[in-house]
Amino acid sequence: MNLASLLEAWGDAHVLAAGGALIGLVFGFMAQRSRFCARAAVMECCDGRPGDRFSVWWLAFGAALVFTQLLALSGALKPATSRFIANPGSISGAVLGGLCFGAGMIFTRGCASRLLILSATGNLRALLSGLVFAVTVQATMAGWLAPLRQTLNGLWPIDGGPARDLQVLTGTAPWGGLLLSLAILGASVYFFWRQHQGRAWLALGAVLTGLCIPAGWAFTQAVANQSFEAVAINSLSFAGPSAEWLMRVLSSASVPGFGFDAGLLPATFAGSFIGALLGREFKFEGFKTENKLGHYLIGAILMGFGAVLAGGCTVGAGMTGGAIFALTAWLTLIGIWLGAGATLRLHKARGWAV
Amino acid sequence: MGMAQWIEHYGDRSMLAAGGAVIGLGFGFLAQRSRFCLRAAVIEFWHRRFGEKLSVWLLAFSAAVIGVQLLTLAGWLDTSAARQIASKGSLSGALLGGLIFGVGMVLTRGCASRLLVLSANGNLRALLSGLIFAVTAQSALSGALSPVRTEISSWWMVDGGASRDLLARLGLGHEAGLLFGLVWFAAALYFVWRSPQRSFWMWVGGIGTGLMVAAAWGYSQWIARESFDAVQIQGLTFSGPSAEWLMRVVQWPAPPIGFEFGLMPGVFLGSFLGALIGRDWKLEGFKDGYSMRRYIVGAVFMGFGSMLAGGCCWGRRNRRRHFCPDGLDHPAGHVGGGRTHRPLDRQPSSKALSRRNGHHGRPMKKQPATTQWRRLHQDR
Repeated sequence: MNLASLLEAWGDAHVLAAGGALIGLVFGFMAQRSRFCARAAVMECCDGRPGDRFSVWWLAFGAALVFTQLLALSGALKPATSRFIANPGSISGAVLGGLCFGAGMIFTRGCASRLLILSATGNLRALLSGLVFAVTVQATMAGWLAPLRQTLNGLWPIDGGPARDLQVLTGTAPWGGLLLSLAILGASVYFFWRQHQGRAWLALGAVLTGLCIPAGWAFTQAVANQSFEAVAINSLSFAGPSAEWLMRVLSSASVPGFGFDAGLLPATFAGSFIGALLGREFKFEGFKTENKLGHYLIGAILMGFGAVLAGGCTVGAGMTGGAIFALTAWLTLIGIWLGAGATLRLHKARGWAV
Repeated sequence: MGMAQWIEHYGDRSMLAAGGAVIGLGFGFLAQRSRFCLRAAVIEFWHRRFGEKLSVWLLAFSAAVIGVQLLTLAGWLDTSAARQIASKGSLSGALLGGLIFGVGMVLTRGCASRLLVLSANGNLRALLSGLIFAVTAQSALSGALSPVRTEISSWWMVDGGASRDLLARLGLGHEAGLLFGLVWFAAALYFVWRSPQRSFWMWVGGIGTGLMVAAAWGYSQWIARESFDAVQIQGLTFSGPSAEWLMRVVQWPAPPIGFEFGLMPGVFLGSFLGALIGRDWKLEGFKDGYSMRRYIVGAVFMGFGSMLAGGCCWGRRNRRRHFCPDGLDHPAGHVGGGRTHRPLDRQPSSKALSRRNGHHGRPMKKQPATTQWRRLHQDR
């Protein structure tokens, strides 16, 4: 049975949701097992002691880049039709949003995807921060914070098309992206091999986590090719789907349509839950110290606002958009690292616990 | 300048919102100062300790009953048009919702209005629980949980009109309602007089909090009389407004403004002012991981229960005020609260305590009752 007959039998929306669920399950499980965390990676980097979290993140990132570029070169993926490149965007939004998101990620002790994965392991701090994050995302997309977002995005808008494609801009298409990706993957493999020799399972987990990104791209592209309706190609992202799920819970009158995102979020939760059960890591955890709740709240709000402003979280913009070399995605990613690093400095200077 | 001109000039919705803000400001301030809290009153009641909290609550309750009945007797208020009496209601929803709300209220350490008052004092636990409460309430009103709510409500329906008016059912007039209020007021006076920690704010705050409910009824009725549009008369309620505010923040176009639009920020601001004057303002978070589960579960229960019963403890108390049988849910809320509280008394039991302290398997000595009492009351 091929994809076309599946689509005919079940409809686009359900096939997309099922595919999202399958990929989300793998992502949740692998990310939980390998403790994939952008925040920890930034922290290790800023402390000058790159350890296993740093290596895991870069290994996953490198794997995502290389395989997505291979897909693009083989013609199985047309990045130019994705929202990261085809739609009009904003340079100011990407930079400011990345900075906000990075700062928030340090306060909340985990980026959006990490919060989802942690809450499935019984971490109630992450669950509550995730709720605040989702409410802020929705308010920034279509509520009270939307005017502010539009103002910031309007500072330096950018047209869709080649102007947002980093490979076209630098004149290195079509091979430049793959070469850079291979360099990143090679460096991260070398680093991993030098630092954590013999931890093959950790490396496998990181690579499989990263491979979920090209898997998402390939799957949605395949559906888009076969379907008679317009299907937006996409891969993993967590900001939009959490707002979508929030609205699905809040109001039946304005339920958004089913799709890839609808399956992704609960499946990531389930995958992480299974991972935690297998690893005997499931444990209810709440706030331990008195005054940290304010940090979590501020962080979740900053992160939610930043994610919409920048057009994605660490995974949604950084990895998914970065893998197809969208200009704004790379700016966001750099913004996240810088914002997180600066906030970390602030924490250290003020003597706050991180 | 009369009310009619004001309405003509600013529109009745803006006038409702302004009135809601002023009444909310008064309510928030007085409730903060008097530490008015239904949950604490229920706990005192079930412990047979008729102390400060119960007295304040009784003062407020009886003041509200007397105020509303006086307004009605003076011809200022026509309660038969109120939503709680005029429309079809569900007894099963009221009873079960009241129970669920009561359980949630004890778990979360404060009912919906108390959470709002507390969050304005810097209590971040209450703020977060309030967010979960609003999300659940909205979800039960028109989201994913609404089918469950409709199903439970349909089990036992009653028609609107006289059958929901407790006074009319008993064949009594509003004089009897007034008398009822006076009896409760006398009881409240007795308890306050007996209470060792009685203070100025207990008196003023308790009575004033209750009168704000009557003021809300009176004000919305006033607007309804003067306005050409249909205006819903109402007292104070917090579940609907918090859901409405949540949607206002996350969605565009926002629902139209009204009494509730002004009420929520008014209460928040009033409580904040009260905390500043009383030097109660303090940022507070969770103390231990153990309590968080309770707050989350409690807020979800409270949100669902309030929508099932058709209002939070304040919204429902309004109804009791004109004595419709849905007043049933109020006792139900009390019982629910008492039920949960009983097991909670013992909750930090040997097993849980030893787990928390890292002594696996070895049972700890049971804590004396006073410690448990203090633990339960550590955040007012």
